[in-house]
Amino acid sequence: MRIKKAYPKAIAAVLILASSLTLWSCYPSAPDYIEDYDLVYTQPDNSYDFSKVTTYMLPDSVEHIVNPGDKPDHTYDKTILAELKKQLDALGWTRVTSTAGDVVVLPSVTHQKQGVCQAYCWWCYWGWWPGWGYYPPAWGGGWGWWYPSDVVCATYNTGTLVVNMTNPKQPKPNQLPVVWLGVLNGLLEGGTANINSRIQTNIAQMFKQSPYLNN
Amino acid sequence: MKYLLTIIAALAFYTAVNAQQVAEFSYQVSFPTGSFKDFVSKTGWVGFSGAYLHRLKNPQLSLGGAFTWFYFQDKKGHGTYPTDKENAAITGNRSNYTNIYQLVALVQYDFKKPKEHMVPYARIGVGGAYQDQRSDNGLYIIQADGAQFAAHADLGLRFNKDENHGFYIAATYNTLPAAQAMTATTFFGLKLGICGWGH
Repeated sequence: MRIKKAYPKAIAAVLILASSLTLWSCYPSAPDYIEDYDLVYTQPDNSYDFSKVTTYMLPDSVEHIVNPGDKPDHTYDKTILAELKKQLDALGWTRVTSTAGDVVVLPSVTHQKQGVCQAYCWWCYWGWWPGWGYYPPAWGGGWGWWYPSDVVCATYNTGTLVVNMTNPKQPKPNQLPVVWLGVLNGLLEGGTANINSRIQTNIAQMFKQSPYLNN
Repeated sequence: MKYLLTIIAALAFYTAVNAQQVAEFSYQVSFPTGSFKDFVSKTGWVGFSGAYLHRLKNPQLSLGGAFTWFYFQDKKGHGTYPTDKENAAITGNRSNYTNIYQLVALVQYDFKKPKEHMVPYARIGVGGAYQDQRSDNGLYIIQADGAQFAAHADLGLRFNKDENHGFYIAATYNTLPAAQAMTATTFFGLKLGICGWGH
């Protein structure tokens, strides 16, 4: 039988190439728009009977959780409070000014500056190496950085609005039971009008995806 | 996994100095099924495999090993999705995807003499895999990865172009049972490959 040696060698070369696939991974392309990063999460206390709620207390201010020395940014407080009031009123609940309401709704905001570096390197597969480097916000200002010419760094702001709906009638020691939680997280980038619009849309979404509040 | 690697290495060495060896390279299109279809419903267009087989004394029977890389992605887009907590929901832009690196030992039976022009065959692969399942949600990535059992069964037809090489098509079913936080992964596939053999 005539044996061709060249062909198995070629196959072997392909196999070696195939084995190098262990260095490869695929990832989907990143979203195109800032609002594509917005995330709304809601979770109720399933043992709580929302059908008995008729009144709510919403404070006149938003709590800001900031790092020591940082000043809170109140730019979006009015939008947050107005949209929450609109949605709570739409449930048929009446706003009261004391903690005698059936529920107390407490909005709080945190924001962070994130930093990320990415490298385009000959040893990576085509495209940008995901998560090549990262430094936490605390390492931000005041530090001098040096990067190779093929490394690009960027910073971006993220914000989180947490809406805690609490039951003031069944307090535990130093605690108010949370009967509903709404969280909005996203990029705090873009113009003020755009951010205001996204805050309104996403607070509305918190209530839209919580139909049990309307029982 | 250590045993599997040892077996494959021993077979590779043995076939290098003995009897007939077969090398293959194939491309596979995959169609998710079962609970894996809930995670990724889209067809997987990335599936590459390299295999090495050794024909035994009965030349219709072969043993070997294969390494395979699969990638599945499903950009589910903006929507409201349930979570594992009752009545909890998450709204946002979601992309689910997974990379699977699979190493299996192979047993193959040819239903005709290997030198026939068309040779139907059945193949079973059993081994292990590393899988990296991820779900991008807004700024967050939910990741479940780790090692797991992997197996597949193929029914194929090999066309021998001449006495040294040919190509083949096969229907295949892959299964990777749920492990750690990873969703059980099952999918059908259509495989197209080339093969070559010699002493």
